[in-house]
Amino acid sequence: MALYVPVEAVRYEKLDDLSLVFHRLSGETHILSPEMEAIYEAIPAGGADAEQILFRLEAVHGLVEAEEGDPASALCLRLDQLTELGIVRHIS
Amino acid sequence: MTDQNSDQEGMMQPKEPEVNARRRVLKLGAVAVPAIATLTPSMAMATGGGVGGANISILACQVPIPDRIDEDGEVVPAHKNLHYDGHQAYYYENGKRGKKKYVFNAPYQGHYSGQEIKDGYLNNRYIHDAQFKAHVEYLQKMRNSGTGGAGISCLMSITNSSYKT
Repeated sequence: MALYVPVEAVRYEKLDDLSLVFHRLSGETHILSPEMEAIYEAIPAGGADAEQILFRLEAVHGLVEAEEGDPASALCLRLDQLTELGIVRHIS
Repeated sequence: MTDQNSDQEGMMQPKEPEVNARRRVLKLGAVAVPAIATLTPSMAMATGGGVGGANISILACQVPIPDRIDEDGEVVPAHKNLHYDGHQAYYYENGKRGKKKYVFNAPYQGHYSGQEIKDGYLNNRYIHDAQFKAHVEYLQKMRNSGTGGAGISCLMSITNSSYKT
């Protein structure tokens, strides 16, 4: 089962309408959109697979919709984007 | 007195709306729509100003490479003894009967500049330079591992534009 785990070496700051993730090792600062912020916050420290993350999102938001395709695959693509930036790790 | 009244009204307000506001519909946008904007240190360090400045600093940035990288781009564990085949170091991955893997030191200054990596990729340097090839393997692993590392933003800014695996 493939798990997504938040990387520890980051500093996460929530501003009013904006969330910033500072990646200590690369020195990069990522500005997350509200949907990315919701996804990032739904990833538990111990890690979870995409299905569990979707379940956690639904628990907070009630309804998760996707503009294209089904929510599960849209979520996977967003998780992969977070992984690519190095702020989430993907363990298979 | 008016103030006091409004305070009381405020306290009387139920907490429901807050919860409802949180339980809003989450709409996942189309993938083509960027959901993240990234500020890289190379942008912050650009001295020329504007896009040109950022380009210059990307190529001047440094990607450190550790010593003892094997031919597959793995960092050789510190407890492994190195043997020598002429001048070329190697080690056995799993004891004497395991796979023999050649080991390479860091580049001469301990790092590559962005320019060196870009030139190396463009000139296919990894085909004839085994050390560079091992380092490219290492960089790809570092880039894909998601764990980050010093110089990874430098690497990303070069490899995203000029080299894909």
